[in-house]
Amino acid sequence: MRRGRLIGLAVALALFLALALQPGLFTPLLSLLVEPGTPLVYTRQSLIALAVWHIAVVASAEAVAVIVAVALGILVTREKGAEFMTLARMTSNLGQTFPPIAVLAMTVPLVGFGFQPTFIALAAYGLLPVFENTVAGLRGVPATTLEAARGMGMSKRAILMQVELPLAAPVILAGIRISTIINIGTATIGSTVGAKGLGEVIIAGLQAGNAAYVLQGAMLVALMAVCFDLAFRSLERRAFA
Amino acid sequence: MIEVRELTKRFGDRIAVDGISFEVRDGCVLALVGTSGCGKSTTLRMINRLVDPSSGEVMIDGRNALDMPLEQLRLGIGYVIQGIGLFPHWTVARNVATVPRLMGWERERIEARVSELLELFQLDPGEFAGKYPSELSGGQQQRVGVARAIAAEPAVLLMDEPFGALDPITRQRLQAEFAAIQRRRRMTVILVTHDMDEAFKLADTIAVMDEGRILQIASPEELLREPRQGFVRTLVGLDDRALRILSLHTVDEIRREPTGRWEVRGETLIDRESGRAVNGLGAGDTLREAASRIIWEAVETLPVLEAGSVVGEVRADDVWAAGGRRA
Amino acid sequence: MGISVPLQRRAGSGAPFSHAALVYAVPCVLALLALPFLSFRPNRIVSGEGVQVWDVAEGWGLVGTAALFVLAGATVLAGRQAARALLGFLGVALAMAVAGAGAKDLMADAPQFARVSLGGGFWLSCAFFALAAADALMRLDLRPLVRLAVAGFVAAALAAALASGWFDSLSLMQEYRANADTFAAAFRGHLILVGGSLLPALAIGLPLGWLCHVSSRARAVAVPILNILQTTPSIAMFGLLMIPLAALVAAIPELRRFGIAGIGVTPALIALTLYSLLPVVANTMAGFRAVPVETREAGRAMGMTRWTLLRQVELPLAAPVILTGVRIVVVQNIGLAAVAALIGGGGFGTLVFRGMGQTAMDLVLLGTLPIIAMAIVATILFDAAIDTMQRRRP
Ligand SMILES: Nc1ncnc2c1ncn2[C@@H]1O[C@H](COP(=O)(O)OP(=O)(O)OP(=O)(O)O)[C@@H](O)[C@H]1O
Ligand SMILES: [Mg+2]
Repeated sequence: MRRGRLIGLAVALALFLALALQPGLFTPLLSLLVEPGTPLVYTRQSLIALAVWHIAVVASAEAVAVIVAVALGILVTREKGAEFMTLARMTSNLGQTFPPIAVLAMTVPLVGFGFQPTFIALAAYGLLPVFENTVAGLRGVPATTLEAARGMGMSKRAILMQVELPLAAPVILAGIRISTIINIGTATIGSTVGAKGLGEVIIAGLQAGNAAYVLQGAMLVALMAVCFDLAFRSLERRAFA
Repeated sequence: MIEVRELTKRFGDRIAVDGISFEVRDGCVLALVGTSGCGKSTTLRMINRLVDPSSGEVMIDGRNALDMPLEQLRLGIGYVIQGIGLFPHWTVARNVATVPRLMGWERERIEARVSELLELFQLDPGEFAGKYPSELSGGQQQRVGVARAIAAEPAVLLMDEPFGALDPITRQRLQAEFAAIQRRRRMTVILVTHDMDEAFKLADTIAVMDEGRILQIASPEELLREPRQGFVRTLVGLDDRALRILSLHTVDEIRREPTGRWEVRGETLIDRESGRAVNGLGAGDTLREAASRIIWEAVETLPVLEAGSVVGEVRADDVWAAGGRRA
Repeated sequence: MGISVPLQRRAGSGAPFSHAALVYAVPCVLALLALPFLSFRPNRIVSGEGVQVWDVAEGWGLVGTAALFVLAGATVLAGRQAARALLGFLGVALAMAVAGAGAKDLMADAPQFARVSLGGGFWLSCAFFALAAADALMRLDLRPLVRLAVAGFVAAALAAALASGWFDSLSLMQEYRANADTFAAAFRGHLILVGGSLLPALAIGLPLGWLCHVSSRARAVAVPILNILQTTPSIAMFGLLMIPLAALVAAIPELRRFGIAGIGVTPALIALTLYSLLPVVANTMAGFRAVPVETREAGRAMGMTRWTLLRQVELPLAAPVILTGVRIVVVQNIGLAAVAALIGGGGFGTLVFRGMGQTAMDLVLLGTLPIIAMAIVATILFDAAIDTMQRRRP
């Protein structure tokens, strides 16, 4: 199982890098898709640069989302924050009913086009799964375990850092994975509001009716998502051990 | 009549049940006892074919269970599952009605049967019929589980630790009720239990299992008097076997004609020799109870009472002899 | 995506003073103080100038501001959750009334192409009042039918308000009037995308989920594939599907007569169906797995056929979890369907992307708000259904 995942990760990563660095290699394949004479490789920007931009916006938004969401999750699972639990869960549930495209569209009027609306939308939208899973993970720690920890004289802080968080880690990591995957996709849509990223290639392809562009962009984004998914899953496994 | 011949079950390389044979005559109760994991449940589950035997055969009333249509076989066998397994989405009444409904009984008949059974197990139908399993205590759930198993009056009943989660008092009451029903309906029963007292009380025959084999199969008394060396002895326990043997017999069996030593004065019974008031024994009391009372009262003999008058007496020597090694 | 199980029912509480309500009331007041309530633009494209809430049409402005502040404070102090919910709804109604009146006043003597949009102050205060109401309702732990009645009442009130003409001066309503036909078509298109993908997803997903439950081999094959499908970003999926479909149509042109094409509704429906499979399969599996072993064995031992067992025991027990999967799928597809507009799939995305193209934010909103509304309605309906199922057996 684990071996399969690592091999899958290596293959996906290799394909991704080949496609991003040496798109020329794929021209024989791409030429099957379009009428002769159509440009095959997207050249307005280098693909690897777009990929880096894509990762940068996702990673920066994700970092903010994780810090805020984990902090909030810890807060509402403490005794004093319990009152805010309903509130937080509801906001989070409601938030998840907002489609990513809507979050993106609603941020634009506030901050204009470009990097910012994408960043804000991704950070806001990325919060929800991380928060949900933090709460679920912390609540999932067996009461008997906590009782034992308390009985042994551990301080609240020690219980949180040494017992609760390590036990909740796989669930929290799963939340981060889900959130990252969603955001890699949403960042693609971000190109419609002028953020730099791989979505640009797909949208250019859709607008020009160029299937070669669409395939390139789509493959790159899909491979990127698969790579992150597999990498996170191996991490989750390790967190368990 | 259940006949089991050379029944074996392997899970992978592990042998869970290793070529066991026994028979249970109509209207009799066989108890399967043994430590955890020795293959008791697996044996039961092979009889209603929840588990397919690796080899061997099961005959029920002369028919090979392996040749019978699966559902028909199971509809005719009541099963009290280890862990109760009530249907959580159905009310108590609907749970009890499961097999009658599968057999297509009429509605009135089902309703009447459900009420009858609930009352039998001391669950007021008005209060409990509409409840869901999660609203019951563990012991109540267990009673519903037994009621459900005998709802369609099966001729054969398999019970896997049916009275496990009960307090001693409720357990004894239920055991007594169950024994009465079993005798009245002449059900053929295989009972799995960890509780040796339960086995001695309810079973006609006890099979002691260890590591998939039957080490000894015998009547309760024989098992107590002549347990095989080793595991059976440990399980049966030799320390209080005399008392256990006594509990298998009743006062009726050894009572003698009364000597006129006791005098009834109004409500009380007076021992003329000592001038003390004494409590008489009932004819159906066990010898174990008689022994206990004899020791407590520090007397040589006690009267047997029936409907307020003295009908016999029990002598300490006779009790000791009944519970002792035979010459 | 992970498996989601139905939310546990929450215990009601009737604290007289709610710290939680402060979380709504304080930002609500701050938003009203700091952000413009309306924004006025001489024409559709230029950026507007903000109008604070107290500056809107004379009578409404000061009285309205005061009333909004009082309502915000009252949600904190309200003694009962029911009162708190009512105050929340009143706050939303009042904010909308003030906005409508303000827009009417601003437009009264404005040039022909002038527009009045709703500002951050309006949106945030409305959102916080609505959240306060929803929070209070949730703590009341109403029965599903009552909840539906409340939701129906709110929806009816909203519809009546929009139909009354009070808001007609707002740019959002102007966009609606200008695009009424497109709006109706987008609504139809969106429903077709969501409904049209749900049916095949259920037809495939439920049996597949059951199969994966009973056969570990099926599980080992299907689940990783579905995982990868789910991981593929929506635009990429839409784009990738165009290619084989276009090739298919090029090879068999007759297919075009059935409306199959590389661009348009077909790839969108296929993509949405594929996205729906994992949640449906995962939750079906989880639902079946949650049926206690003893329960299943008891059913078998009592002579139930496999089919009877499935129908009478396993399915009813798994139903709430399966339905939760369906809810996830419906809500998710309502959102994803918006992206389908990029490949000509129709739906509200049409309005969103057109609005972005024209930098007409009110047009974007006109496309976005109904998507959110649909998602909320779907959530409320499904939650009520799931809750009903679970309440029948405590
Ligand atoms: N489905 C199965 N697959 C593999 N092994 C099994 C299975 N069912 C039972 N076993 C094994 O067979 C042996 C006998 O199990 P069984 O359930 O019959 O024990 P038991 O006597 O009923 O124990 P207990 O008193 O704890 O209920 C055990 O070692 C158990 O691990
Ligand atoms: Mg057992």
